[in-house]
Amino acid sequence: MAELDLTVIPVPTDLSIDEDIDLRGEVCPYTFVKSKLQLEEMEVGQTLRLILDHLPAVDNCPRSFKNEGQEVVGVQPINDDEWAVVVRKLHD
Amino acid sequence: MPSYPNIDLLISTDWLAANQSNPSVKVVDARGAQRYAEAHIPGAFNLPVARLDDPTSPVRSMPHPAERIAQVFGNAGLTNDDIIVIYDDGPSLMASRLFWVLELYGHQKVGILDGGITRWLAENREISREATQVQASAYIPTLQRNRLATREDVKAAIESKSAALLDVRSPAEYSGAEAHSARGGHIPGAKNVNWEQTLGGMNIPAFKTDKELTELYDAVGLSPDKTVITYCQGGVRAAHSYYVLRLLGYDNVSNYTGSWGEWGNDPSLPAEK
Repeated sequence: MAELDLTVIPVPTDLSIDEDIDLRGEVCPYTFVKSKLQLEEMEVGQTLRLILDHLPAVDNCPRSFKNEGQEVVGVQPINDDEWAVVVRKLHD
Repeated sequence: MPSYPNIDLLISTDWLAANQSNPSVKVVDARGAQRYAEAHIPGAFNLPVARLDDPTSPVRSMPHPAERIAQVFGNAGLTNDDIIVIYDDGPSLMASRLFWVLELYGHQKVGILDGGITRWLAENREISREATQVQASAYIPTLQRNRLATREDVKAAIESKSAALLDVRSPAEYSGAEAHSARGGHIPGAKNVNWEQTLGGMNIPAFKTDKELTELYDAVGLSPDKTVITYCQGGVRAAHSYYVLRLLGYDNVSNYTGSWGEWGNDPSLPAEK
């Protein structure tokens, strides 16, 4: 069985979120493409929260950001259908 | 509109406009709820493709099982005999995913609106912002197992060479230069035809012509008599190429919906770069 990357990483309650991107209704690959573009516009150290409802994206986006050297701060369900993924920009 | 061997799978806006009042014609907007609320084709029911996946499956992009699909399609007012016309507002990625799920569950009369709502709007046709209310219906899904490829099916296809593997991700993903799983690369033996290469049109989304698409796949040794398994990262782009191959008259096509999101995260499975 493949090891899935859907482990919940609780988003720290005192974490400051700098920007949100609502990706509900979007599917891969645009979930990552759009969030990556938004992160590129942000400053190093800032955090971006992705709101997702496409389950493969909840796997793929954190993995993709990790592979790009960014920090995945949190992966957490919001409700039965939606997830929040928080990424901190570590480099341009 | 160009001609394709399976032209019935591509619905023109003229045909839809002329047949909208037919109660057997059901229009489905596959986008998210927000964009549906902004403007949609009158009478279209909103069925976001993100709602089609089974959250309990270990394969994240696996569609719901039949009993749940019966509810989802039934709540959308669909019946087995309906002529279903699907659209989105992009290059039909979402529409293709729903198209694949409908074929997976045995729906016979389903097509994608050529140019989607983008063409509909460009032609100044009527739109609505009122959510379409439908009466729930009885929908009986019948799983077409040959439309779905599992990890085991792919392993068997590699060993027996019984099917061609078509990787529809970008060349960088295929080569492993860009990875969205624990490792990069591709399934051994897979040919790479990026799904974006099937797209034509400028302002209005379109597919390339029959001739252009045939040449594209012919270059990697595919033809309509072959059995083909498409895959990508999470089964959406793979559904798009699945649709394109069906449009070209391929009968034996399946979507490995687990795709590289499953394969690339499992170190026990073989991979190439």
